[in-house]
Amino acid sequence: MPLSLQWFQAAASEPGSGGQPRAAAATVLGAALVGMSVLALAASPLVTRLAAQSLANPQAASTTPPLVAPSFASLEQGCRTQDCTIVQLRRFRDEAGNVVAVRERLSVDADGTDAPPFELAFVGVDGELPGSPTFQKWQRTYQRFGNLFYQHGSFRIRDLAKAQSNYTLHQFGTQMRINRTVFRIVIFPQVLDKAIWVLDVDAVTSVPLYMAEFDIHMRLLAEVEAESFSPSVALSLAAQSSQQVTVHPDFDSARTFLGDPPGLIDPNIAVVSEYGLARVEVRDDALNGQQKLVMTYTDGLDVFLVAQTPGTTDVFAGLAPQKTSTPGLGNTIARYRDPAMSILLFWDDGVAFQVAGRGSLLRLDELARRIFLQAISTN
Amino acid sequence: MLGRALATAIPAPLADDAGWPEPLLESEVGRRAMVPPPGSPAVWAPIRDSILAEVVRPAPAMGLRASSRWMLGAAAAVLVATVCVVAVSRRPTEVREIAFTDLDTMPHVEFAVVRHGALR
Repeated sequence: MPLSLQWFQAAASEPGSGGQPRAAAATVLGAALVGMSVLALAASPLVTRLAAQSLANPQAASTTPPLVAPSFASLEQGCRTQDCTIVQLRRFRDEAGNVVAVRERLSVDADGTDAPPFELAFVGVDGELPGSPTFQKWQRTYQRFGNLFYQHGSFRIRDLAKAQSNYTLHQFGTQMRINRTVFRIVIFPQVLDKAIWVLDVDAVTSVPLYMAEFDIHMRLLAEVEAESFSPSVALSLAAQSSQQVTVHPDFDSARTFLGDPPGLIDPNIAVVSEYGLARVEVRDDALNGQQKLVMTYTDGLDVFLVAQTPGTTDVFAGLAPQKTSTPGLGNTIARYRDPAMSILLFWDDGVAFQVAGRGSLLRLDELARRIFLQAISTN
Repeated sequence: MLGRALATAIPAPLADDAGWPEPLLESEVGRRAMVPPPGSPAVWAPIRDSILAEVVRPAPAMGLRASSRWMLGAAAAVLVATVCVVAVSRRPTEVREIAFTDLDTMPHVEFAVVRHGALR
């Protein structure tokens, strides 16, 4: 048996931990992925064949009747059609690697669309008493940003055709999680500057009950683990996030909604050609209350955002020109990057621009540069 | 005596195909006829003035009055100024440099909250 499958079997045989920290399991999965990724890169058909053999192993699937293995289509369909209420742990890692596990309740009222009504409610912080300063801080965080954790911090098929062309799905058998049969799958990107996903997908509903996001260096970047699952939902309107969002069909519509302010542009994203526009919305920024245009692009799974906030002053006025040989022609992009995210900030003609995505997607630098030039030449 | 005087004053006729007779050209009458009279300031002054006036006067084809000329001049000035303003204000994107500045601390933006949780 290949080393990668030995590692995988060790991880897959671990029973559900019922809320215990899963860092060790994630490490095992990461180690398994090291071998798996090598095989996937060098001989993807071989990995598929081995995974098929693993599925055919009667010991691995002895607890369930024959089930249909997940596909991109079934994953998309499950999230579109399945009402659910899940209490889950979301583990955040700060830039220093410290982990905070926050318990949340996700309620999804599936309506056949890829943007169903939902609610993400704060429950508590693992290891913190209710009312503690840390508890209150995270409670406020969920009140302000809860929607974003669901929209941008969870696994979802955002575009089926793009997901099928930009990723490969590998089956790694079944196991039990919170007393439900799940398929363990690994979703591997065709281009290696994106995340690798490890999922435990409910065999009946195709809803992910565990997701872990790794980068190509097998660093665990994000993790959500279900503690309970109910295939029903009851949304409370009062618990909706305070953030105001209006969705628009295209850039022009959103610009008109904002009052046609000068300086906004429809970004050219040719440098990341496998991505496409997934969503256009106008948000009230939860941090400063300013209205901004947010355009979300996806390759089927991964996303990056281009946000434009009109009517802002140049925060770089004191910085430019920098690192340029021609005085007066300097244009600065402020960049922050760590394994989990890339943030690129710049300003032109009264508009503050922000390009944000995964840390491994280094192409965002060139994208930001081109958008900056586009803004300069347009305005 | 009269005959002798005429003989010295009037040269003898030449053959018909000889043109101006040489004696006539060499006579006082011939010299006066061949040398232009010296210019008189009184005669040339009006001619000079008329030539200068012709040069200074605008071409009849233009047919513009003073007001039209001013408007034309103003329009030309506006055109030149516009071209200059456009040329100056048009930022030469081809030669612009984009500088990246790496931040030491995580910016306070929503995506940072999504990835790392509550702002610290």
